[in-house]
Amino acid sequence: MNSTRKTILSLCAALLLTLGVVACKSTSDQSSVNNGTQAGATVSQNSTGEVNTAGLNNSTGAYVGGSGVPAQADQPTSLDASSRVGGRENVQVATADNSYAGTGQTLITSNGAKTTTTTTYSTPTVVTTAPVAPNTTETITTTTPVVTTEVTTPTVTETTTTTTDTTADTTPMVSSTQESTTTTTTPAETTTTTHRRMHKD
Amino acid sequence: MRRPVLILIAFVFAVRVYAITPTEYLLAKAWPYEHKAKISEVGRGVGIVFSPDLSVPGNCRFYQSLGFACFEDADWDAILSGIRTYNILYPDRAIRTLVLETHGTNGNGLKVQNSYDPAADRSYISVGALQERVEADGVRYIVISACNSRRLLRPAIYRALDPYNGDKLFLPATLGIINASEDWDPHRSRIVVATPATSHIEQTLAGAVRELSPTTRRALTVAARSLGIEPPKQFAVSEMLMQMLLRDPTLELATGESIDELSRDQTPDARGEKLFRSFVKYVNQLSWREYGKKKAPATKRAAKTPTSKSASARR
Repeated sequence: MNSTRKTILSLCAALLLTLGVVACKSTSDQSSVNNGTQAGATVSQNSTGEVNTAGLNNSTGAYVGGSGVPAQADQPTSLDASSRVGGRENVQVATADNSYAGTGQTLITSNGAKTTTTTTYSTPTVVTTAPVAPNTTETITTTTPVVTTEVTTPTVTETTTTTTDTTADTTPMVSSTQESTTTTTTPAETTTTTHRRMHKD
Repeated sequence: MRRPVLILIAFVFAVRVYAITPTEYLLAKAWPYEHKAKISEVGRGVGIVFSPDLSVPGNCRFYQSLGFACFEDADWDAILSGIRTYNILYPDRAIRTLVLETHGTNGNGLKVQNSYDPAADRSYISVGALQERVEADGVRYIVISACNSRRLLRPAIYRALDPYNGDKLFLPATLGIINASEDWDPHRSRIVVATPATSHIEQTLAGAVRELSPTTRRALTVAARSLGIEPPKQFAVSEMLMQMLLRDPTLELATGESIDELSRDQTPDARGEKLFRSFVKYVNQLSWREYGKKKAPATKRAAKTPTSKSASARR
C-alpha cells in the first residue's frame, strides 16, 4: 500500500517537474514586441483604445493631453525571412549611381597673387531637342475699323424728402440737386428679446 | 525727486483700496477672480443649485464643463447629499461658495420644484437649515439669487419656515420642508449669506450653446468629454450669476440684513439681454485665450510642409 502511494507521489512529482520545465521554456520563448515605449515609461490606455500620454490630471480621474493610437499587436516587429530552411533571400540589387555633383576650387597663381576660382559641376543632362522646322513666316495684317461710340449720360437729379413726426413742427422741404443724400433714421433704442425668460418667484 | 513720486504712488494705491466696495470685497472672498483661469476652471469651488423649473435640459452639463459643481433637484435632501458627496469625492475642488438659483416664494422659503402643478415634486428649506447642513461640508458663502431673497432672512422664518403664511405661491411641500434644529445658533455659524441689496424678482435666461463661438463650443466639448459627460447644448443663466461672473459694477450684495417689504419689481428685459451678450463675450474670450492662440502655430506648420504630407499620402 505504502509502495503504491510512493509510486503515485513520485509520478506526480515527475509530472509537475515536467510541466514546470515546459512552462518556463514557453515563457522564455515568447518574443518581445517593442512598440517604441521607453523602459519605465507609463502608458495608460482608456476604454476607447487610445493611449494617453499625458497621464492623470487630477483627482477627478480625467485624462488630459494628447492621445495616440496604440501600436497594432499583430504588426510584425521585424522582416520575415524565408520560412523554408536553406531558402534564398530575394535581394534586389540597386542600380549603380554614376551621377556626380560637387564644388571644386582651383588655385591660380599669377604674378605672386593667388586667386581661387570655384567651379560647380554635376552630371551633364542630356537635352533632347526637337527637329527644327523650316522657317515659314506668314504675316497677317488685320485692319480694325475705328468705331466711335458716343455715350450720353443723363443727369440724375435725386430729391430726398424728409417727413418728420406729426407732433413735431413742420419744417420746410429740403431738396438737393446733383447730390444724393441718404438719411437713415435710427430708432432710439430697439431691443429684440431673443431668449426665453424664467421668473423666480 | 523720488519722494514725491513715491507719495503719489502710495496715494493712488490708497485711493484704489478705498474704492473697493463691500460687494467687490465679498465677491473677491467668495469667488476669487482668476485672471488666467481656463474655461474649465471658471467655476472651481463654486456650486450652483437649480430648481428644475428654472433650468433647461442638460443645463448642469454646461456648468460642469465650466468647472462648477451643479445640482438640480426638487428635493432639498438630495441636493444636500449631493453637496456632501461632492466635497468628499473632490476635496481639491471642494465647494466653498453655493449659489442658489431657486425660488424665494416671495421671501417665504427657498423652494425647488419641478413645476407649478400643486402635485409636482417640491420641497422647501429655511436659510438657517441650509447654513446648518452645509457648514459641516466646508461651505463658507451662500449667495441667494431668488425672488425677494432678503425677506428670507427675517428672524421669524430664519430657522423654521411658516407653512401657513397664506402666500398662494407657497404650494404644497410634496417632498417636505427642512428647518434648522432647535439648538442651532445662527450667531455661531461661520457661513456668510449674501443676497441682492435690492429686493426684486430675479430672472433667468435660457441660451443655446450654438450662440457661443466655435472655439468655445470646442472647449466645452473637450471639458465635457474629460469629465465623461455629453457636451451641453443649452443652458440657463440668471442675471445675478452673469453679474457676478462679469464683476458687474451695478451688482450690489448685502449680508445679514433682512427686510419685510415685498417687491414686485422686475428688471427690464433689455438689461438681461445686454448682460447675456457680455456673458457670451466673456466666455468666448476665455476660450480664445486658452485654445485660439494654440491653433495658430499648428496651422503654420501644416502650411509649411505640404510636400511631406503629399509624400506620405503617396506612400
